[in-house]
Amino acid sequence: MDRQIITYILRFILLVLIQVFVLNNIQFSGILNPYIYVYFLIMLPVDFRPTVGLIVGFLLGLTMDMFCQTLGMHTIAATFAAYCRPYILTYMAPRDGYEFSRVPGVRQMGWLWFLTYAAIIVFLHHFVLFFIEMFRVTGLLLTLGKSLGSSLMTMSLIVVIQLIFARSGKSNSYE
Amino acid sequence: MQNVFLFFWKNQFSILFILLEIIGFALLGSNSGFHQSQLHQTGVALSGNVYQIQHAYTQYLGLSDENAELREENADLLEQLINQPKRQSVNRDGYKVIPVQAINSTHHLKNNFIVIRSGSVDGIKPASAVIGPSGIVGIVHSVSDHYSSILPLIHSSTNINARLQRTSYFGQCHWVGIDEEIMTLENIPNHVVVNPGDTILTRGGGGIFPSGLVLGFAESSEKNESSGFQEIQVKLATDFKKINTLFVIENTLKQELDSIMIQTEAWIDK
Repeated sequence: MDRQIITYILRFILLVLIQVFVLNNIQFSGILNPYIYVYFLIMLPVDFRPTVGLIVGFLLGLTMDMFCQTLGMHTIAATFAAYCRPYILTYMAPRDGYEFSRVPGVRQMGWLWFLTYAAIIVFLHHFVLFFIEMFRVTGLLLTLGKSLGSSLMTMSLIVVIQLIFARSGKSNSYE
Repeated sequence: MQNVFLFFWKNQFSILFILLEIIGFALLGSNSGFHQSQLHQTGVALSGNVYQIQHAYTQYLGLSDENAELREENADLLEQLINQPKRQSVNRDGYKVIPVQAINSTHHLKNNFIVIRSGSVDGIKPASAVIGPSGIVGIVHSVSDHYSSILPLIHSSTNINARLQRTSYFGQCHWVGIDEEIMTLENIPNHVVVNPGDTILTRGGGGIFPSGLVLGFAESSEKNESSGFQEIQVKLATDFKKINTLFVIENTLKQELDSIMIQTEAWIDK
C-alpha cells in the first residue's frame, strides 16, 4: 500500500517535470503541444475515490498553472478530466467488472480498451484547455483542430510509456 | 435539516466538482488587479527557482548566437560613442538601464510572458520598459525579490504608442494573437504612404519606453476607406522565439511626467 502511494507521488512529480522541462519547450509549428501530465489521471486505480480523484486533478492542474503562468487554465481542464473519469470507467466497464485489475493499463485491459479510454480523457482535457485558451480570439474550428492534433501527440507518448513500462513486472504492480 | 446534509453527502462529487471549477474560473477571471499580481508574485518566485536550474543547463546551447549578438551590440555602442560629438544629442536623461537574463518565455500562447532572473533586490520596478538587442520587448509586470515577470509585446493587453520613422505619423500598436512576429499599427491616416520595410519606432508618450526605440518594420498596410485610417502589419524587430539577454529601462522621471499629465488633464477638464 505504501509502496503504491510512493509510486504515484513519484509519477506525479516526474510527469510534471517532463511536462515543464521537455514538452513545454517543444512546440510543433507553435500549434501542437502534448500535455502528458494527464497520464497521471488516466492511470489512477479504477476504484480510486472519485472525490479524492477530483482534488488530485485540481492540484495537478494548479501545479501546472504555477509553472506555465496560466492561472486557471490547466486547473479547469484537469479538474474536468478528473470529473469525467469515473463516468467513463463506469460506461466502459467490462462485463465481469474490473475485479481482476485495479490499474487501467494496457496489460490489464488490452490495447483497444486502454486506447479508447485514454483517448477520451485526453481529448476532453485538451479540448477544454484549448477552448479556454482560445475562445476570445479565434473560432471553434481551430480549437477543435488544435485539440485533435495535440491529443494525437499526447496519445503517441502514452503508447510509448505503456510499451516501455507495461511489459515488465507482475500483474499487481502499478506502473 | 438532515435532508439537506443527506443531499450534500449524496451529491458530494458533483458539488465538489462545481466548487473546484468555480475556483479555477476565479483564477482565470482575475486577469487584472491586485489579487492576480499577488498570486503571480508567488508563482513567479516558485517557478523562477525551478526555471533558473533549467536555464543553467540550457544557456550553454545558445552561447555562440549570444556571443555574436553581444559583439554586434558592442560594435553599435562603440560606433555611437565615436560618433557622439557629431550627432545631435538625444536627451535620455532619467533613464536607468539594468541588464537582465530571461530564464523562461513563451511565444505560442494568446497571452505570453517572460520571466527574468532579477527582482526588486536588483532595482527592477513594475511598469519599466524592457528592450532586447534588436528592439523593444515588453513591460515589467510583477516583481518578487529575485525574479520578475514581463508582459511581452505579444500579449493581448499590449497597447503601445508608435510612430513611423520616415513620416512621423503616430498610432497605436497592439497584438491580435496567432502570429508572434506580427503586430498591428492603427490610426495612421490613409493619405500617409507606407512602404514595406519602413521602420516603426516607439513614441514614448506614456513615459515607459524612451522615444525612438525600434519596434519593428512595416510589412503591409490595408486602407480602410470608411474610417479614413489604414491598418499596418508590423513585423517585430524582436524574435520572441529566442529571448535571452534583455535590458530593463526605468524612467526615473516617470512620476514627474505623470503628475504633469494629471495637472494638464485637470486643467483641460475645467
